Amino acid sequence: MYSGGYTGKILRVDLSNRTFTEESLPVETACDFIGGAGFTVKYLFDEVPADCDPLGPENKLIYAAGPFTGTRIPCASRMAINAKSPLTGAMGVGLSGGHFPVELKRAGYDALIIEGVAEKPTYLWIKNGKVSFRSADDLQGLTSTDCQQVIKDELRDQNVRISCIGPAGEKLSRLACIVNERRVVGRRGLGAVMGSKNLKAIALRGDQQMTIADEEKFKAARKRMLDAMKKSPVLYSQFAHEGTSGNVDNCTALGIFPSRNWTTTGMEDYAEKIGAEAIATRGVGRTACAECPVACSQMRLAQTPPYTGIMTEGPEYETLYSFGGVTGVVSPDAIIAADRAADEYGIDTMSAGVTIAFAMELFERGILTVEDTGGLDLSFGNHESMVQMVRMMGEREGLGDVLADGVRIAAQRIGRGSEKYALHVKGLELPAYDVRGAKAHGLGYATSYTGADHNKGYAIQEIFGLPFPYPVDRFAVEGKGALTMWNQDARTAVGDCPTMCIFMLDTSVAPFLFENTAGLLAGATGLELSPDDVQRVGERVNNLARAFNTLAGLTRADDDLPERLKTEPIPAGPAKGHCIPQKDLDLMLDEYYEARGWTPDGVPTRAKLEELRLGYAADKLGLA
Amino acid sequence: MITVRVRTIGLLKSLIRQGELDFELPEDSTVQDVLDAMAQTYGPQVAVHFVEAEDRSAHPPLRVTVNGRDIAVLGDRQTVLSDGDDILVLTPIAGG
Repeated sequence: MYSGGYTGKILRVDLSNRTFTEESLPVETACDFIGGAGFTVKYLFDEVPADCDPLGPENKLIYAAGPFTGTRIPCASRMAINAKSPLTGAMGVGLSGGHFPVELKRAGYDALIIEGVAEKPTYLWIKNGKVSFRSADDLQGLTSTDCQQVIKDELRDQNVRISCIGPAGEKLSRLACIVNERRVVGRRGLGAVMGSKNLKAIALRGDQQMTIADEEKFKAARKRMLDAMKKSPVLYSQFAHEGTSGNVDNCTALGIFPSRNWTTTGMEDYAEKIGAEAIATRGVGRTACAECPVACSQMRLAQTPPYTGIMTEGPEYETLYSFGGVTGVVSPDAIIAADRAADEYGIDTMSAGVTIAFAMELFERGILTVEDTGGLDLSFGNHESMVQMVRMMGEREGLGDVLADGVRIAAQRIGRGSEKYALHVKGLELPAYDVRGAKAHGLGYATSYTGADHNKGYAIQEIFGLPFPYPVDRFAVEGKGALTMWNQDARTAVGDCPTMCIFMLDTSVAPFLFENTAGLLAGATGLELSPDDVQRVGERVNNLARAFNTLAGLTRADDDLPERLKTEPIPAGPAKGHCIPQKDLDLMLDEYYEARGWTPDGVPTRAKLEELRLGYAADKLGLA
Repeated sequence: MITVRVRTIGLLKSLIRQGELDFELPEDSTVQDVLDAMAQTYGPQVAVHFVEAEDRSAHPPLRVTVNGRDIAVLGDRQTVLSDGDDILVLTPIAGG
């Protein structure tokens, strides 16, 4: 039994009937899934029909914090949100930091399950066990910042923590995100799920303190982690001051910073123009998630017309790619402006930028013309058009309406051979690593249960050169199956489930990551999981999510990469000549499925599922 | 003699004040020889970053690649270099 860390309660809210109930958190669920993404995958699998319409009433929106959230364990103020994704049709798990996750725990809950559809625009006001269904009529059309401020004023409490959608979520853009103050669960259109439920926002307030199961163990485990953070050669000395922007320099140096819809990777020096040093010239301060001594999040202010005075929290590395490299834009101020606009409209910066880059390539190829763009010159590198397109997508205006649901749907709408320029996996636009020069990272894109997701199986060995669990040759194909499984299970088990900031894995605890999580769990919750048990949680979550996706109709054919990555080698730079031909992808997939104990078609077996205490998933799949 | 191109980013680049350097070295020179040459040229403020970690299980303080491949999968610092090799030397980077 757990005796700390968790609140032990889950709040279930039915928007259709305007009712709510509290449930206990079963100890088996805590042991098998730890929290965060694990809880949301478990509840979504159990309760949401895999074949449902993601924007229909059967889908559910599930929030879950971790067992360390709200304790003095550093860097765990995070939460997962999950629903069946309207962008991919698969599990849609995303995570965000900030202060909302701690407030969820302080309000008394480990998780929040939202069901049904509100009859009228609604926001939820949750305070210490009471739930109010309040009218959101006056919030309709408001940007994320304005929405949060109006709610705070209405509740006469400036310290309320809010999770909300912007106009893009209301307009059911499949790229819409959920904004938690200035942190965002960005990917896979979960904002559209919230919008489909007529739910504009959730406001939280609570004063519950987390109990700690074993103070001595807790202190020892916490100290070990803090010591590792202090000893890190990168965390406080560099990462705290640059945030994620240093990765522009890193990936440019490795020749894998994608450029111009992945046509000119390695040909341009983005580090010089939008790398750490360039973007630091716009820095005006730093900010931190709750209980984080690092404060990696950078506040930046645009300094040149027409963007002068626009401030944003960010842009992070991925946004420097999506509104920078992949669109060919090299104006730091335009990227700042686009980042802020996307956050205000509530649209994913990554998918939005890649979708604009897709449209730019179509424009340069003459598939789209100025008649389609409403007069905009959508050439690569045109920063004013790029920023304008973000606004048009948020408003669903003109070409923005065509693009507002991502590249896969946009290509279907546009036709004329545009599909081959649409860079996505399972409908999710590609992140900021040209994986033709980092093969395990590419296999991660192909097999992640959430689509092309850099965060579900990040290849720290290839991108950062970390030798854990062993060093690898990033250009090699063989041996990447088992490694990708390790990467996915590790990140899930020590990041997504305990909702520990994944940057701790990259910078500090990689040498003892499963031990770190096990020690913290024992201290905070009293649950005695071995390091192997912790790793097993990651494997369990990845298997259960795969089972859901299989039920949703996804197959091996969906574990794919865009044609460009398979047939067009990187044209220049340190990764010149590399690509991932179909035969290499097939080899890696075969290795991966074998490591996972799945069939050659990528379906989990009954034996594997039962080994993971997931026999109920085998039953649901109808496996013999 | 061989000529190799050394590239740096971030901290090392700011210390060296150059992102790219060419080194002329005898045949059969190794990565260690390049690091020694850099340490000699740029002094202790650079050399301090080349000290190998005592604890090999800790987060490595330096990353070196030769033609895009980490030296850990080649011959570590004893990797023998060839004319025209591209060597990337960087202190750790994180966060994406």
